[in-house]
Amino acid sequence: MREPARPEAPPPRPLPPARAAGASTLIAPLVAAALLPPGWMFIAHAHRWHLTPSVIVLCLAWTAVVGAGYALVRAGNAFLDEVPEDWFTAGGTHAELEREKKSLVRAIKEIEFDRDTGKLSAADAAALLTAYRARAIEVIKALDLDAAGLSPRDRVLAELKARAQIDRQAGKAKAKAAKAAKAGKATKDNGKPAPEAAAATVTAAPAAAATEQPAVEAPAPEAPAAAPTVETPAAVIDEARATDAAGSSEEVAS
Amino acid sequence: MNELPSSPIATVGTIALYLSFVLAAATAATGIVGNARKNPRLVAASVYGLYGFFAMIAITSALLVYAFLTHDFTIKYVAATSDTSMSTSYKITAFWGALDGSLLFWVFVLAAFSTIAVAVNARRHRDMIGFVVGTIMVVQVFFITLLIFNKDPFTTFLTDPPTNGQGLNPLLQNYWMVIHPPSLYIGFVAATIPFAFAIAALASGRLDDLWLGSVRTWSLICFFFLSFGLILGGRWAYEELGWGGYWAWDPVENAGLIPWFTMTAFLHTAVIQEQRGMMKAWNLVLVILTFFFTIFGTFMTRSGVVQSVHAFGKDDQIALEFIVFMLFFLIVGLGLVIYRLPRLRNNGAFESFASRETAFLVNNWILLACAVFVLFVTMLPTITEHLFGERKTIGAAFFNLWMTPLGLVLLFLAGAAPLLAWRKTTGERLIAQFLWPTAAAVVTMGLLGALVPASRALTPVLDDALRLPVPLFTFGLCGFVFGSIIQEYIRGLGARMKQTGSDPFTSLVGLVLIKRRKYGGYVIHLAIAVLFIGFAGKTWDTMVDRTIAKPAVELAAAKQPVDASRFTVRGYTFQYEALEQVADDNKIATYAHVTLSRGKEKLELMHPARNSYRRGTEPTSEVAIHERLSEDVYVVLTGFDTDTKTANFRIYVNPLVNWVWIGFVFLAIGTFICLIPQGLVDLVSGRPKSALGRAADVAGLLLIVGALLAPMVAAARADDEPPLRVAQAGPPAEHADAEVRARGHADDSGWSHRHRPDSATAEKLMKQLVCMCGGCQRETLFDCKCGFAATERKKVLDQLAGFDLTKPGGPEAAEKAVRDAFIREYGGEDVLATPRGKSTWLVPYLAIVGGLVVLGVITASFVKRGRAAAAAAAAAPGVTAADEKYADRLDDELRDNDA
Repeated sequence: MREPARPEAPPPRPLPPARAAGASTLIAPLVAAALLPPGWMFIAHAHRWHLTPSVIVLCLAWTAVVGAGYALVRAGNAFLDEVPEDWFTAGGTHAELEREKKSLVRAIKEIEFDRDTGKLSAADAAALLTAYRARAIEVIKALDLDAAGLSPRDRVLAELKARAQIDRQAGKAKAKAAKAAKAGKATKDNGKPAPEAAAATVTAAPAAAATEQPAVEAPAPEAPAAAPTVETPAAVIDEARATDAAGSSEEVAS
Repeated sequence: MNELPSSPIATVGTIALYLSFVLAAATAATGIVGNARKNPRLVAASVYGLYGFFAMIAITSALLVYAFLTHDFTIKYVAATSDTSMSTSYKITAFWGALDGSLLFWVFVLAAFSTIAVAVNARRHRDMIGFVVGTIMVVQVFFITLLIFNKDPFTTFLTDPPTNGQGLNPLLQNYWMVIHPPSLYIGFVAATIPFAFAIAALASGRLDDLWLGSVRTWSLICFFFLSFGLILGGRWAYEELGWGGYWAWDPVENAGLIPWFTMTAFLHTAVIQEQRGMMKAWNLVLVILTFFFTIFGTFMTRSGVVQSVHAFGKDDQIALEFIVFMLFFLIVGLGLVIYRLPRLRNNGAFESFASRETAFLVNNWILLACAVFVLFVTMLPTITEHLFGERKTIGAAFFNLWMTPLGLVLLFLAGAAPLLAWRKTTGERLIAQFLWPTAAAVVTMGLLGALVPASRALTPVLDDALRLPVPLFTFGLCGFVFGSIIQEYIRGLGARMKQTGSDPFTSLVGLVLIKRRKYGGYVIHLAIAVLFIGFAGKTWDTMVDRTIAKPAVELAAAKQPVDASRFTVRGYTFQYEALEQVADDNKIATYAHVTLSRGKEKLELMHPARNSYRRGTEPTSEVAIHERLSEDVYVVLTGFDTDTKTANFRIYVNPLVNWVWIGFVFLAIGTFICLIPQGLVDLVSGRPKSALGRAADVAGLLLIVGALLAPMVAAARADDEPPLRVAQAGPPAEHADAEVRARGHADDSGWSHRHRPDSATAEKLMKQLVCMCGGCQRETLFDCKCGFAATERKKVLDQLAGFDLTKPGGPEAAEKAVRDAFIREYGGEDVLATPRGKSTWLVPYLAIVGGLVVLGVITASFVKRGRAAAAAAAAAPGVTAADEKYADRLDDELRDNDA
């Protein structure tokens, strides 16, 4: 048996329209300020102008009365006043990134200071600074992306592409370092120097970087032209792996 | 027909209180609902509601103060705590002089602080300010509920109001007590602000470090005022109570100390969270615990669960309400932490045991151990009473057994932590950092050990059987801390000078201003060391009782040698000159004039006094103190006879006690440095190059520091000469034993010198047994000055007379027999200053040692994880050539940042 149709609930009554801050927000404090002196004078007059501690306390009480009235009026007006649309997104991503950047800058300065005051050795400080600087640079890049007004999706795609390229560079640097180490070991066994080995180890990272794909510094909103259409993060990673595999097979051949 | 008494002030005040209650409840609901539903208008309304609440409570408070000032004795609270003879300042002090007013004062101070906190932070935290307002208002609703339904300060007499009030307790009519309660309340209340922000962060999910930055200032304010309140209380006790000490581990004293421990712990781990992104959940827990302990302390002193002369009395209804409130906030707070735990993961990790993070972790463990230990031992009498039907008393000796080693570890950390780097300090750096401070410690110990034999005094630690030269260790560690902090300043200055190329003074100012939290914190660490110097002196203090039959004036008049009016204690000569009485409307003050000399040098004419009050309250002592940096000479007039001019004196020589007060001055300076606002730093950072400009900067800085310290300087004790008038009346003569016992704590007739210990066993027993007169602070028979204690001491001596203390085992057997006799007489161990049961000792052992083990395991797992993470981070590539543009921008930021 069907239930009888329930009557529809009446639509909620709309709030009164918000009003912009204007004269009304000035009237309340002016009225409050105007009420204070007469009250004080009345109190002083009632005590024959003898300004004893009790009179002063009463004047303070009057000030509190006026203050209470003003606050309650403002509380009531708060239901009517305009409020910014982003009230509940006070910080936002940009603010958080700025805070992280400031925190990283402070940490870097602290490490440098600890090194200068002898708490950290130069080697330890260098290692820490490398890690912190890398992270700080990531944050600055992220701030740029944010400032460029990219949509969140485009930001994620650009970031993934940058990270994939860094991973490729790291992989190549590791491979070159391993190759150089092997060559160095073989030379040690044979007693002959291997000129490329030392150079390869030291310059592996920058060389890899120098010979690699175009830099990621320009956070271009459009997709890269040479690659197939990149629509998803997974596709970006697959593209990066494909390029990597192609690069590795070229090295093996040479 | 008589009219019913009416008080318009009481009527209006009560109405204001009820309106405040309604407003608080409405504001709480508005804030919480507004934030939960993301309704900005509700949130904005709640902010103004909070401001309005502050104004309403200000009206209520002003009316109560007005009632005091106008002697409105139709109000019971006014009649109970003031009278017409009190000065204006004490009338205002009476506002918080008893329970009802103190609760209203709490509400007022919290309203004021929360208004400032919300006004400053509303814009920055507008996405969670509704929860902040709601949390604060819920706390306010609780306290106003207590006021309205339990302790209304505006309750009036129904019939026959008195024409004059009872007056404030004479012990509270002291300038230290004018500022001690407000400063402690401010400290307690200031802990509510970080708590509110923590709850708001948890409720809203805004778990980044933003809330931490906003509460840092309030946490420092809480720390400062708790410290200030504790020191003021100690100073008041030292000057007013006449027992020669400043800290007795009284429950009310402990109530202020426990949140001090947890707030200090939070101030340290907050730095870890800012620097390393770790300890997020722990910091939230610490803030919640600190707030909980402030409420718990209030509960202890207002519910009667602990016995203390500081306590406001017993009230089971209030006790129950407090328990419900504390449980509510504990469950809500910790529940939110557990709910948000997945989002409170650490960003960083511990990488080494030799790191500042580990030092802070150990520091936290020590501070928390101190807090839990003090809490447990303070509540032990109540716990044992409920569980076993017998109150086990815990005296200061038990606290000192445990707090001494914990304190020494803390002192060591105060010097060691600044020497360690974040993340890790390698072996070679560790040696370089610790070398000079360790040398300073060794030299200090060597010199003092050789030149000051008293520093080698053995003190029991952890157990009576284990005695160590604690003062020597303390001084050595103080030397270590001084060495460490001075080294930090010198090396920091060197680095700054190299960085900026400035002269030493400019570099020092720049260093302290730019890194004010670090270098202000170092000054606070120095303060802790200075405090410990003062604590160490307690080990070899002296207390003697002397009775002088005739003053020098009378002897000279009778042509007798005045030597009979002299006595010597620790190289000081005391000559009892005269006895005089001065009477006024309030009291009869009896002064003894005593000349203090050392060798041939006359040091001071001292005037210890005793006041007897016409209203029949307990007589009080006005001690005379000759203050020196090395030691204080403290004279108490414990009894007198105006007919015979006999006077009884108790003399204390307190080594190094003034270092305790000096230590606080350092603490204040360090805290103020930490609190310097960024705006002021920016203002002075554009510094003039000319000498005149720099001098103006220095003068300005000195003015600011001076203005902040001036209230303390102004409140310093002034040595007033008593008016030389002679009054007529004299005190009653000494009483027989039975009468003395019936009168309880009657110390007006000079009993303190009677039946003093005549052997080490007697002294040990008298320090183990508590005076059961019911009027003192459960002082030991050795310390208590009343007649009851004197008769108990006689009992001890009479019982010991039956034992041979010279034969082996004799003292131990005698001790046991006398102790058992007292326990039998009083029906339990309540008569003992420290418990005998092994279970009592077991708890601190388990807690502290167990905590150490847990800490070690946790740290080891943190370090293992941290090293793996560090290795992974090291393997990752650094900055690539492609990022050079960003690296340049980073370098620009670093150059512009003068941190």
